[in-house]
Amino acid sequence: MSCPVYLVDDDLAIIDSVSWLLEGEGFDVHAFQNAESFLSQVEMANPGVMLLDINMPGIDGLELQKKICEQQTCLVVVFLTGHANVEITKLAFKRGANDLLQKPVNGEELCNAIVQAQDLALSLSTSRQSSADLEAKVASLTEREKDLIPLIILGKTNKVIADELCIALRTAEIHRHNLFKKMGVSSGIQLAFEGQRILDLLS
Amino acid sequence: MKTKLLVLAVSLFLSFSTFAEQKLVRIGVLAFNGPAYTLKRWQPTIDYLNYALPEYHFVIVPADIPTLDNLVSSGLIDFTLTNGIKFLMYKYNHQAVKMLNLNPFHGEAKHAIGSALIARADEPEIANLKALRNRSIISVSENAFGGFKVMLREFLSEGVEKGDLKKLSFIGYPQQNLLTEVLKGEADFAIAPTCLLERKERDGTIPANALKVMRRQTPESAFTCHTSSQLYPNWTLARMKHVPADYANHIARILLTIPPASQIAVSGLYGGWSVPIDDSAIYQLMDDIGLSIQPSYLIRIWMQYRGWFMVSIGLLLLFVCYHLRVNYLVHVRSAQLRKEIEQHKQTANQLEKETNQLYKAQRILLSGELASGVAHELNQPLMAISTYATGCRKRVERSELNQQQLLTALEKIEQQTLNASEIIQRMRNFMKIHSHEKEHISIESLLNNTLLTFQHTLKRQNIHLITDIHDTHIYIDPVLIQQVIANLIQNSIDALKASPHDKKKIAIRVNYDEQALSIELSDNGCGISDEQLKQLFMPFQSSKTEGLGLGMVICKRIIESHNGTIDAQQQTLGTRFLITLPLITEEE
Repeated sequence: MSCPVYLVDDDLAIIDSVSWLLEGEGFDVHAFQNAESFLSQVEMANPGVMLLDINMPGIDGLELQKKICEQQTCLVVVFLTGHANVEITKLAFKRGANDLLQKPVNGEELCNAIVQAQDLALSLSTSRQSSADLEAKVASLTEREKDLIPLIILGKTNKVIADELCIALRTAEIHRHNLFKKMGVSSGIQLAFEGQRILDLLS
Repeated sequence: MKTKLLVLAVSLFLSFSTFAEQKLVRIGVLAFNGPAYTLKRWQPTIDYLNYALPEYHFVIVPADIPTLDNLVSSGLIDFTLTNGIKFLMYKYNHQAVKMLNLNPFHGEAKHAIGSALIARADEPEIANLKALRNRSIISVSENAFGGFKVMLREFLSEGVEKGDLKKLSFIGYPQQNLLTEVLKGEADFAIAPTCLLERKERDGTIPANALKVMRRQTPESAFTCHTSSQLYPNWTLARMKHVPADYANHIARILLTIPPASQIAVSGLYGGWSVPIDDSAIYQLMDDIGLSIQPSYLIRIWMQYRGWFMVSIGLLLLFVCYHLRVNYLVHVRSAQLRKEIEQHKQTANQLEKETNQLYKAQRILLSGELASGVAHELNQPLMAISTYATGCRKRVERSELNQQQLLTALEKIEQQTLNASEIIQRMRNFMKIHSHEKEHISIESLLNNTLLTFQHTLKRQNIHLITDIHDTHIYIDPVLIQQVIANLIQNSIDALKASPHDKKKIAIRVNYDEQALSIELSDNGCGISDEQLKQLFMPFQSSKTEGLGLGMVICKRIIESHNGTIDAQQQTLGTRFLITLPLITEEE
């Protein structure tokens, strides 16, 4: 499983050499000479790795990172810079940079960093996907079904639930059945796996 | 004899007793045979004068040559009775006037004195005087007239110099000794006055026929004695210049009345007196033997002007001393000046060297500020090279690399290597020791070269560079002018650090007219305060914490050494520097 690598650097020599190296390694490399062309051409919702130069005319690397952060993307940023002082480094990591490589960077190291970032991007993408699914499932629940969830997570039986909610035992059984069906689980224990996240969504 | 002495005593007494009334007249007589002989010979004549002229008192003063010379020159003598040579000396040197000549016993006054070369009777007659060169010859004195001087002329006429006579000696007075010496065989020849031998034979002092006169000459007129030489005029009575003519006339008259055969004349060994006779023979003699009557013309001039001459010499010496002193002082001063000039040159060279070192130091300092930019700039090609290399390696490991790909990658690596070395070269050019030679250079290429050094920094700092360059050629020291531009750009970059990210600007404008080139460099940075503007070109005034405060001072010095000007102005935003450089320069 792989995702594209976006290289943004104003130096053509860097673009050419890095692209050549990474393509050789089987990466899907897309190179941009400035931030603007990147922003206009890339669909940022998809997972991907960004190799980003900090100093660039126009929108520089840090600014581009900021823009990416603002949109909930699955892009993982790896900075590639010739001059990283403490200020810049601090800012980059605060904004969620995955790595910061100082030019000239060792090719091996670069590849490793990209692979790592790719994994991160993919997992990020997956977790984003799963939470979205969960959200959709939760949204499809009726109010009564939602009421049932904390009680089921606490491990209470249908009888106890029916008592607490002042409903009939049969009604409680139907709700539980519907709930399990909608949430795609077969037992209360399965539901409790995602329990905390579901409770967060409910509150 | 006794009666004579008595007469003498009486006359002396009388002369002393009548001294008060009588005028004393001194007659200097050359005395060769001692004063007593002279007094005895001439006393009768003097007595006669005293008798004839009672108002005067005549005195004989016998003197040898130096004494008589002294007496004459000091004016203590009224009359002299001397040989012809001495008279001529006195005539010319002391204005003596010839009065009378003595007559000889026989013959004429004109031919009365000569020399006899006397030898023993057995001496063979000589053919030539040269034969005498190695014979022993004696005479009384070198200065005797009738004797050596007259004979010397004869020697000279036969080519014999005085120096040729090896065994010549002068034995002094009395003359009689000459004869006795030759007789005894102490000497071979004697040079004596004529008639000495005859007289001595007559009075029996010398035996007759023991000696003879050699080289006998025939006298021009009747002469009783044998002579070996030409004959010359007899002794002369002369009056000194202070003696009045009238009483000199009296005396002359009295003396002329003395009859030749009288007792007076006989005891005086003369034949009366005669009026002055021709002196030419004596002149010739003196001429021949090289005896000058009077000091030479030069000596007379010397005597006359020696005072002035001494003064002139003194002045000349003073002048020479002064001149030498002046020369010496000039020499000393010149040496000092030369030394000072040399020192000055050395100092100037040293100063120039140090100035250039200062410039260089500042360039290096500036390069330090540029260095981080350059280092980052270098990272780009290095990164590219490294990446190409890794790419190649990885592909080779997987055997995916074809030859064409490899060649392309290698070419790219080479290109990047060149880029890297260019960056380093630019830096080195900036720091290099330059030749201090001005050259004609395009201002645009100079500025572009300088800006290349900064391009990475400008990009990194997101500084927008605006250039508006009207290119022309200018005669400058490119390294130094580049240093100035680099300083100004670096200052602008520093001033722009705090400016908003997307608004940083540096503008460079170059314009020129017929006379001058102007370079305007402005930024829209933080600008400078009035205080800083005042101190901008003063050393060690820096607004930067790490700065030395020399950059602007050196810029000013460099521009001024190019006869240009540099000025800083505040703008509403930022600073503006204006440099003017003359386009018309004297190329030396």
